[in-house]
Amino acid sequence: MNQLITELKKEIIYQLNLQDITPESIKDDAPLFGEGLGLDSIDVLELIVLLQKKYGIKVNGAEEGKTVFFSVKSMAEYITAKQQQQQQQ
Amino acid sequence: MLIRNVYINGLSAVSVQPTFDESFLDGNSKDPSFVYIKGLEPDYKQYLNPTASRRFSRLIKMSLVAAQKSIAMADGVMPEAIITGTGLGCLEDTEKFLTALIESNESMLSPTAFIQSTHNTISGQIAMMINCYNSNYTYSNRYFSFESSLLDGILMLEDRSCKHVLVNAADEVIPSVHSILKRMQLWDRRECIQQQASMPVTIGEGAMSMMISSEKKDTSLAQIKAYKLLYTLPAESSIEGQIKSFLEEAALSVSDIDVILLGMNGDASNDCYYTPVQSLFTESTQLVYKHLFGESFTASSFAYWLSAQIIRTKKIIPSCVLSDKNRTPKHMFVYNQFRGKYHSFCLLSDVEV
Repeated sequence: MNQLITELKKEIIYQLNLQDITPESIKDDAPLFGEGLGLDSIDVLELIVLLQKKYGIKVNGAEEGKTVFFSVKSMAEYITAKQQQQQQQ
Repeated sequence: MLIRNVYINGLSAVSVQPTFDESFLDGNSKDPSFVYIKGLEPDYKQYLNPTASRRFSRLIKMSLVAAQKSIAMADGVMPEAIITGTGLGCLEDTEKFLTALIESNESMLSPTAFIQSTHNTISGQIAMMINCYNSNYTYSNRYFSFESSLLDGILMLEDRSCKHVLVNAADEVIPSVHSILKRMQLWDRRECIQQQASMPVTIGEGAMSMMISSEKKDTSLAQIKAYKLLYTLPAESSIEGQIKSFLEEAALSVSDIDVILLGMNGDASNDCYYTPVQSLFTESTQLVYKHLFGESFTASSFAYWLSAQIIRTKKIIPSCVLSDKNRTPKHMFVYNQFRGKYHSFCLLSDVEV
């Protein structure tokens, strides 16, 4: 899980072109939107594309998205759960 | 078209020359003799919010800082319209978007590059930066892209539907487009401007922003007194005749013009159209600028920046001089065309005159 969290942080910084932010400065459970990294609705679209492209995971609906993209930790948990589901199938 | 009250109250440009800090006016110029010329970009962190600007391409950043400075110069007035002219728009983002489209087989595309690639991005981003809820739009009319924007802005001021309009120009160069343009031999001919050997012109880029207002201020840089666009010359007419009647409408004659600024671009098939104009204005100081600023669909916008600055400072830039008649610049005639089409005439005058 920790490895996935670090990987996600790097991907988020790269994909969203976050300036002067390092993976270490992003807290695992800090909110990505609003007070945290201050991401916005366009960033959500970028993160949806990231999950789909890199991990082959589709987010179902806006409600699920709110939970998934709350923090880096919640994204990592969602990816892990989805990957386990896929393996079981 | 004779114009009653159009003043340039704010002006800024990010170009291949040091225009943003205005040191170009003091004789500081950059040698443009390399592959293609890239804009001299300021330190954006001083001007733009890093959170907001992280998505912006170079062209958007150049345009935003130019607009910001132009608005500040005009005492921060809120423009009632934001109009941008661009020939090719945001090429960097367009290329990013199209490359992703091919690589991902038309699926899972990143939204940012698409949003930023649209031609109205610049006007829209300027509006968002200054919280402007008035109209913002874009003209992409080849060599008339900036000229159309300026014409629209002037008409808005003249019919009194607006008091302040922000008119912008923006175009950028990216390696792939540079190589296409070079193959087309469109702008990178590197032939010599008549009368001055060793003035090659290559492809340039940059952003220019101008706040035009119907209100005259102590700080107004210049006044636009007359303006005319001609896609082609009417049959049986000559460029000399067109210019004379344009000046007559403003109650001026050829000899009243102190300085002319020509859009010669080093391409012999283009520059031959300037010869009769040079012969017409024998008593005027003659200037060129594209050997320093490069050529693009909106390169002529830098002529407006330069003219307004020359009128304001009363200083002629030595590196732009084709022939100097030592006249104080009160009335300037700006002429641009491309291979006998897209003729634009502008008469800029001292605000005191």
